[in-house]
Amino acid sequence: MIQSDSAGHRQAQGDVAALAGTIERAAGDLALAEEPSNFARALDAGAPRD
Amino acid sequence: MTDLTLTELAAAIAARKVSAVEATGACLDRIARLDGRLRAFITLDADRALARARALDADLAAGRRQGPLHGVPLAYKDLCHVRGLPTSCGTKTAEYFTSELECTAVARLSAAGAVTLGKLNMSELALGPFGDNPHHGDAGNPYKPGHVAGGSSSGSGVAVAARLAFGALGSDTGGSIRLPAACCGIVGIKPTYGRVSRAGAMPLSWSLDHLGPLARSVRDGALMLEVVAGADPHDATSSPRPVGALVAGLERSPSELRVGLPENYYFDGVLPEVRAAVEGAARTLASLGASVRTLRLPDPAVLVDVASILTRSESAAIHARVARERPDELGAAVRSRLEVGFHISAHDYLQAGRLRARLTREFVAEVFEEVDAVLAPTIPEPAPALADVTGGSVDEIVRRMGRFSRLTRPFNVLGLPVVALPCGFSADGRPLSMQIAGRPFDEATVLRLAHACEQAGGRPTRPPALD
Repeated sequence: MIQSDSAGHRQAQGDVAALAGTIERAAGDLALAEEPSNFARALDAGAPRD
Repeated sequence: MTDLTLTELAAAIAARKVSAVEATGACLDRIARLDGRLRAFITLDADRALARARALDADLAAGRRQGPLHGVPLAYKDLCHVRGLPTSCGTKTAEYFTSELECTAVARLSAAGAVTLGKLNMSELALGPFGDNPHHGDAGNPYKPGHVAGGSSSGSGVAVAARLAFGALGSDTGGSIRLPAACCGIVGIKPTYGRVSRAGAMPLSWSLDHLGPLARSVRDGALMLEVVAGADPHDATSSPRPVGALVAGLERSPSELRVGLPENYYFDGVLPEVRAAVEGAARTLASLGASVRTLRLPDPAVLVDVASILTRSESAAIHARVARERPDELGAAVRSRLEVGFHISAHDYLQAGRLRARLTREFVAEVFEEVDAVLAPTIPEPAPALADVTGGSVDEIVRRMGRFSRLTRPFNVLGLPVVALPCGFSADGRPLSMQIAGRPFDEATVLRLAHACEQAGGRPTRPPALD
């Protein structure tokens, strides 16, 4: 962990809490089978048909 | 000579109307004259550039043309490892990043005949959208002194716009190719995720990093992209998909293409003159036969939060050592942004990655069912004054950074190909810019639309008055 002043530390934790809240709400109904590697599959599936 | 586009110069060299030595010398003269105030370069490699140019001229005289960039002087963001040169990544440490491999994109440009002029200025660790740098000086906006050059590929934007180089490479994790292109009035291409190898370039966020060209015309950018794109055994994320003939496809009419202007998010808080310029470009495309309509995009704000979680987690992991052992070497805003990453839980990071997959699948299915490309502003305002964005508390600076890159970051999460290109000037002479995003791996369509807009608007960009 970076040793910084306590105000900076609190700010970082506050920023993370806000981000995490948004992600948690949006991710609430993700399918069990969803995984990060599906991103690459989404790109491939969306490419123009050659 | 430096006002020629890359394509024009390559043709002139091939026809032996101009030599590689003359072109390289013209760039070096201009760098000597202007870079003291523009601060585009971190490392200039003049002697080797001239030696290489002489060798290329000898090759051509003997009937050997290395490739489509034979003799063309280029320069690279100082996070690309180039054999024999240090790679500071914009930090205080001259050799911050080392690699056994030369940056694949640089190696491909060299193999195509390019001359390397040197390494270009950038925001420290590529973490900053304005292009200021506490160690190497703030890159100067060629059109408006005292205003930002855009970052993080600031030197790439400045060098190309100011005619110090005929093209450049940059990297784009949240807009770092498109933001300097927008501020400096040139073209910047963020390709599809996986289209261009990142091997041999400093990583900031392996999920969101892209390498791509900055150039003075769409054609120049397409040519550079054609050279650097394609599978690379040194980058596991690089795609085996064929690149296709991007330059050859530019002249096809955009008449059967469908273009969408976002109803939500992309025009919120955007200055009226930026909005007017982008809407003007939409009318231009319509006059060329494209079908232009408005549409509502899946909420880009969530994508920005996903980008923040992924970038901050990954950048903190990658750059943990400097952040922990030598934090005083880093600028306050960079230190602050890295620090956030140390507080993100594995749970949140993984949820963001899973969410990204779903959001990308949904965006591609919903949006590209309706249109072939999305047209939007690149930046919400033309290049702001440096003093206005670098003053105040660290918290204020970081929030300004987020606002300035809010229009580019969603496309990094989605991994889609995007071209940023000029669409006019503000009343006080600062460049305005728009971005065109398309289907995954469909660089051909976004470049074709961008080229059509550019041609309808005449000369790619008005040169900055620097002499």
